[in-house]
This record gives sequence, C-alpha cells and structure tokens, in this order.
Amino acid sequence: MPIIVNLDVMMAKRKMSLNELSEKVEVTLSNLSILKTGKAKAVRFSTLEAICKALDCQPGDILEFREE
Amino acid sequence: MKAEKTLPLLQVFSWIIYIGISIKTGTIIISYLVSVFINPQASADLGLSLDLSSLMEFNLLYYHFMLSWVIVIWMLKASIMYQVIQIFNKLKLVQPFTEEVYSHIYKMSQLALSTGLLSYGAYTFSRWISKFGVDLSNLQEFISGRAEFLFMAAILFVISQVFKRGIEIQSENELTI
Repeated sequence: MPIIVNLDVMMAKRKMSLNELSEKVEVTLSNLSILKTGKAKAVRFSTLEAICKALDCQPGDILEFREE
Repeated sequence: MKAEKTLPLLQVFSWIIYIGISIKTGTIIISYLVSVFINPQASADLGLSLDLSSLMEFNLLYYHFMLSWVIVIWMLKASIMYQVIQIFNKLKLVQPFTEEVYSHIYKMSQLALSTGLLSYGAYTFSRWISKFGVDLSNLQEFISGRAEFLFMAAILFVISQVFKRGIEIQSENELTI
C-alpha cells in the first residue's frame, strides 16, 4: 500500500514504548501492532486524534504517502 | 425464537433430511444392483415406488443409463444437504462471514445447478423414450422439481456473492483501528 505508517519512528522520537502508547490511547496492543506493521486497512479519526495527542505530533508525522 | 436457538434446531432437521435422502439413494442403488445382477423383477419397485420395468423390457441400455442418471441426481441432492449441514456447523453469528461458509454456499449453488440441469436432461430423455410407447409417467414424477433447483442455484449464487463481499467488509472492519 502506498500509505506508510511511521508510528514506530514517532514512538522512537518520543521514546515511548508500545505498552505506554496503548495505555494512553486506549487501543489494544494487538491493534497498535497491526497499525505499526502497516497491516491496518483504515484508521479512525478518533484513534488518529488520540495517537497525535499522546505523541504530540501531527497526522502527517504518522502517515506518509509514497508512490509505489 | 432467537437465532442462537433456531440454528441447532435447523441443524438437526438438516441431518434428518440428509439421512433420509441418503437412505433413499442407497435404496435405489441397491434395488438397481439387485435388478441387474439377481432379479430383474426388482425393476418394478426400485424404492420410492419407482417402477422402471417397462423401460427395462424396452431397452436394457436405456434402463442402465436412466437409472444411473437418477442415482446421480439423488446423490447430488444428498450432497446439497451435506453442504447445508456443513454451513450450520461452521456458521458463527458473531462473525458470520468466513471463507469456509462462502465456499459451502458456492458449492451448494453449483450442486443445485448440476441437479437442475441433470433433472432437465433426464426429463427430456424420458419424454423421448415415452414416444416409443414406454410408460414413464412414474419416473417423470420422480425427477420433478427441475426448475426449482435451477432457481435455487441462481439464488444461492447471488447469496454466495453477497457473502464474498461480506467477508471483505468484515475483514476491513477487523483491520480498522
């Protein structure tokens, strides 16, 4: 898929673990893992909002469009 | 009545129908073998009040051909019921759209189409034989329901396609974070 999820990059920048993020955004570890590995087919605005709030970033920092 | 309670009940009914059809098919097969190898008079009552003695007297080859046809049709009917049982076994109302259920519905539509087409073929063939003065009205009653099977095949095909789309939507829903 040409949409790349850079969640791991942002987590590394903020030095935040997956467990910590999971607790903050109230999304299960397995779902965050699906999102991190790029297996997710869609992201809810509410989830994106929670992640941006927890990582103090913009949606563009997490999602990136790259031509295949 | 709730669907959770209805499904096991339907499963029991489908088992009963499946066993019934299998017994009928077995009866015809055994009667056929008896009529061919032991006693030709068995062709007068092949089970389910099927009398093909006049056809056996007219032409033995046609008798073999027609009875094989009928046996295959009944085996297909049994296979359709077996698919229904499999669907009830694998259907879970929490996540109903699965590849397994889809493939059983699709197989059912193919089996129903084959049953309908074979029934049409057998009916046409029996009508052609009737022109020679052989009374096969008994058989024509026996292979009735041709149009119904074709209609069922079309409906099941549509349902299988809806199911296929359902699987995609369910998968998308599961992968929406």
